[in-house]
Amino acid sequence: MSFHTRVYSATLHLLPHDLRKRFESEMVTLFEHRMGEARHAAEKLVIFVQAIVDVLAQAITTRFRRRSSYRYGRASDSSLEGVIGDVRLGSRRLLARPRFSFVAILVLGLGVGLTTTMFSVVDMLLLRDLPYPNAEELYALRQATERDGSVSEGISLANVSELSRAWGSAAFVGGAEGPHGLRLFEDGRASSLRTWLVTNEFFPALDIEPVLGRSFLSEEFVPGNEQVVLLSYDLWAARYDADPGIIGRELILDDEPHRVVGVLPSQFGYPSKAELWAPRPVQQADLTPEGRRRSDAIGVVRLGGSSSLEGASGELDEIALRLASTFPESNAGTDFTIAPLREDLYGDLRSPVLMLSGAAILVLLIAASNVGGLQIAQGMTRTREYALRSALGGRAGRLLRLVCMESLVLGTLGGAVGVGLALVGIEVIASLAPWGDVSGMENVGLNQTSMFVGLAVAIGSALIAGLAPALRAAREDPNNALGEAGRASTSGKHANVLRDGLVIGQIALALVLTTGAGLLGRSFIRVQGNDLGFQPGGRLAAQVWAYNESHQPDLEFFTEAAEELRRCPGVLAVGLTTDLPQANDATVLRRPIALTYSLDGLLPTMSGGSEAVVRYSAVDHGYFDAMGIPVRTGRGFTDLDTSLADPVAIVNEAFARRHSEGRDVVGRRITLRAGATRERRIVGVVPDVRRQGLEASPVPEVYVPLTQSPSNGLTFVINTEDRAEAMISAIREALWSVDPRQAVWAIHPIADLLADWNEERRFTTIVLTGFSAFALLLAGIGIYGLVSFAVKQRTREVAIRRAIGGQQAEMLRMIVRQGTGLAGVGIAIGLPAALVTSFLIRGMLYGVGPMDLHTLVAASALIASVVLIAVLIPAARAMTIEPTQALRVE
Amino acid sequence: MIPIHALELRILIVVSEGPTHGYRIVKEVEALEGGRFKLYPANLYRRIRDLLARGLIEATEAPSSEESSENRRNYFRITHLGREVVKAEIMRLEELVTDARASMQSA
Repeated sequence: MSFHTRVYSATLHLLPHDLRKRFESEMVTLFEHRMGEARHAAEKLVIFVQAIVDVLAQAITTRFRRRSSYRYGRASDSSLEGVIGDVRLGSRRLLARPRFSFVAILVLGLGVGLTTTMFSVVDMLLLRDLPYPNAEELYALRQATERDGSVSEGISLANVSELSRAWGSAAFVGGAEGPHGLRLFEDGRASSLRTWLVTNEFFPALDIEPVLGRSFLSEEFVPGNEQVVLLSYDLWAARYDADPGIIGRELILDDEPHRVVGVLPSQFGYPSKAELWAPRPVQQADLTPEGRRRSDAIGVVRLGGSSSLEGASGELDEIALRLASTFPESNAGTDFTIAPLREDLYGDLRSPVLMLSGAAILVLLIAASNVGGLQIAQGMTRTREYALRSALGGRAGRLLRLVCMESLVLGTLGGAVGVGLALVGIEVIASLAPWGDVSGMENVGLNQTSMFVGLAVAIGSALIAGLAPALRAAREDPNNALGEAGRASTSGKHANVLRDGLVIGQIALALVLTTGAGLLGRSFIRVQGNDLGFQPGGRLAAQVWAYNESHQPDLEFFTEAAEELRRCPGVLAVGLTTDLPQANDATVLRRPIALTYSLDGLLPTMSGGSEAVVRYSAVDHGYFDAMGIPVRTGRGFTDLDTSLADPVAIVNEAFARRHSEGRDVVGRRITLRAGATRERRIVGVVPDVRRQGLEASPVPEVYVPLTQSPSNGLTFVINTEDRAEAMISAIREALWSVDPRQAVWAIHPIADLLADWNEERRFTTIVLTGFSAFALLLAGIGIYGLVSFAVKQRTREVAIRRAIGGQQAEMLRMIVRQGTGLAGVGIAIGLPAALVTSFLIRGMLYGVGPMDLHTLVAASALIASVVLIAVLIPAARAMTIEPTQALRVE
Repeated sequence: MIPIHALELRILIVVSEGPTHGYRIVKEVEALEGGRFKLYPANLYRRIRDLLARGLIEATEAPSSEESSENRRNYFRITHLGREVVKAEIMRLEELVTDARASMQSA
């Protein structure tokens, strides 16, 4: 064959299949004839080109021209308009069965919607990059001391500065101290602005540029130079109306002028949301042994682009050892660790989010198999229809394509509904979920990948389930299906087995979900049952940072204010503390303080040789009463415990348990190793207080009188008669009336703070319960459909038996047996699966083990009863069918 | 069925005279059209396929008067339905021409 003929022959492949098949050789022959007619090469080329163009033109027009004059079943298979026609036909057929279609689309939609929603959240929280450039280079820097073997939250600024100098693998090492409350006095009113004080490498490490103005210059970190500040975007927009003239303006913060040099990007909130960021120079006080021992700053590191994690960690360890030998008083036994920043920010969320995503996948599987089962049932009823069509000359391929289209339309609509639900679902999660405070949650958007995956699963499962019966029917001998035997055709058997399998699968999955929900539910109840240690009801916490002119703690103000508050109507008691229980990262006034100590002159050692620490706070004499904390042994603080009196301390029961040694701890002497180390006499023991929700165990604590250890950031604890919220403005007014220059940072009902800690567990428990309820419903529907279908198929049989006086019980038993048999297998398969998943989520359980028998039994019983109901309804209906009526169904 | 594409009409007229094969159809149609019209294979056989599907022509064997045995399958002739359709189309076209002439004269 000559070259041009070969090319021409190849292009013929563009034509519709039947055209090419029938006339290919003629077309080639004709083509060669034409080429033969050409007199010279140029003409040959022209003919060649025209022939190719002809093929192209025909290929295009045959695919897009409407050929409505063609009879059904005879149209060409691969043309586009045939496809469109089939889609239309498929949709019409779906509309002809509205109940089936509605249910199928809804079920698919719910499954896809749930999965897409969860995956979008997963993507945002766990997969997507943090909003910092090259975020994979960012790590949180922590300090680990052998004091008690635990890694502390923070690091000292002295260590930050040492690391910044010596750590070669790190491009930048930054520190942030806070959150502080800086008092802004503006327009005659004082307000307290949440502020982070950051070191010079903090912003370079994050690589964040202000949207307005500039970041800090190195000279601004020298004490004594002009003081500057960066505003948060929200503060700038809310308070200064986004006026670009804010740059260069002077703000009076804590009675000192600060110049605004820039505005940070919106949604920037590291280490947590705040209103101001200001420079924190490293000062002499930071470099003393006490200063070096602190662990209240947050460290962030950007590793150099070429550094490996192992190399950097190794270098970090060396530096730690060097520092330990250079500064033995403070750094002995101090080690540093780094963790990827993403984990630091979102790490706690990983478990619940992944768990809910896994559950969503299970729900999707249940939904898909449910729809699959529905379609198989439909397929079985259509065996006759297929046989008829095929007998009338419809080609097998055409039939299959028709079913394909129907399933495609079903799957696509289901997927579309799912995507729509996901859009809503994401909004719901973003607002309701307790992770809403995590910075970045505002950015959760529909994840395109999961959307397509969901659509693909929906369409895929619809297709598979739709095709299976169609394929079988297409191969079936039409005579067989059309005859009497068609009603109990053998091809139905395979479909039945498949359907049974799907139902079993759904039951097993439903068991897994229900067990999980049950375990979480029990955990939640256990947590709620925990003793808080104080009375949160009716208590308000008002947080204030107060300074007098010499920047010393202004205890006078606080004492006077407490008195004023006690005079307020509706106030039962007022107390002061430096450490508010149940405050979280967003609401805490300052980071908790843990100190080492000696008891009766001896350093207590913990198992493992580490040093013992105690949580430290300072309270006034009204605190325990205001919080509803009874004094178990000894006494509380009184106004006799002044700064001139004997230093005293009160400990909690956890501390007493640690040091019981057969003696009462009251009367012993404790020396806290921090600042001025004074020996204090323990005068009382109070019950343990839970400080972080209801789950975290209480730790040993020591309370000292505020008069003997003043502080400038205190929380008023106010016990009110009325509903706490109603008192908020009255409290604010009262404080303002004592000294208008002292700004109140925040006022919270303590019950709200407690609720925040519970939020996550409550949320995940409720969501998972919702998932499992949905799963149970679907599984129930699946069984119901199966059994009622089987009943319908044997209507005649049932009726005949009844007509000739057969036992009803026998019939009933048979039907029930079928359904419960499936359930039994499903539960048997589901139990081990449920156990496995219980182990997977055991990190989220509280007070319940993953092998909790009660929950497993209860879940199985619940499923069994759902199955029973689903089986009894069609069975009962079968019993009430009039025999003559049934026999007439021919 | 009507109106028929002009090209299809031409093909029908050609095969109405007797069984004809592809190459011959091409030649005759081009002669009928006159001028520079060229009928290329894909176009031709697409039309033939369509006409076959509509039952206006049918495949047939070569008439005994022609020798070539290889081209046996390629012969086409018009069917009864095809003839009726051609007649109807001719009538339609005649009416069209008559009406057109009438309106041109009155204008």
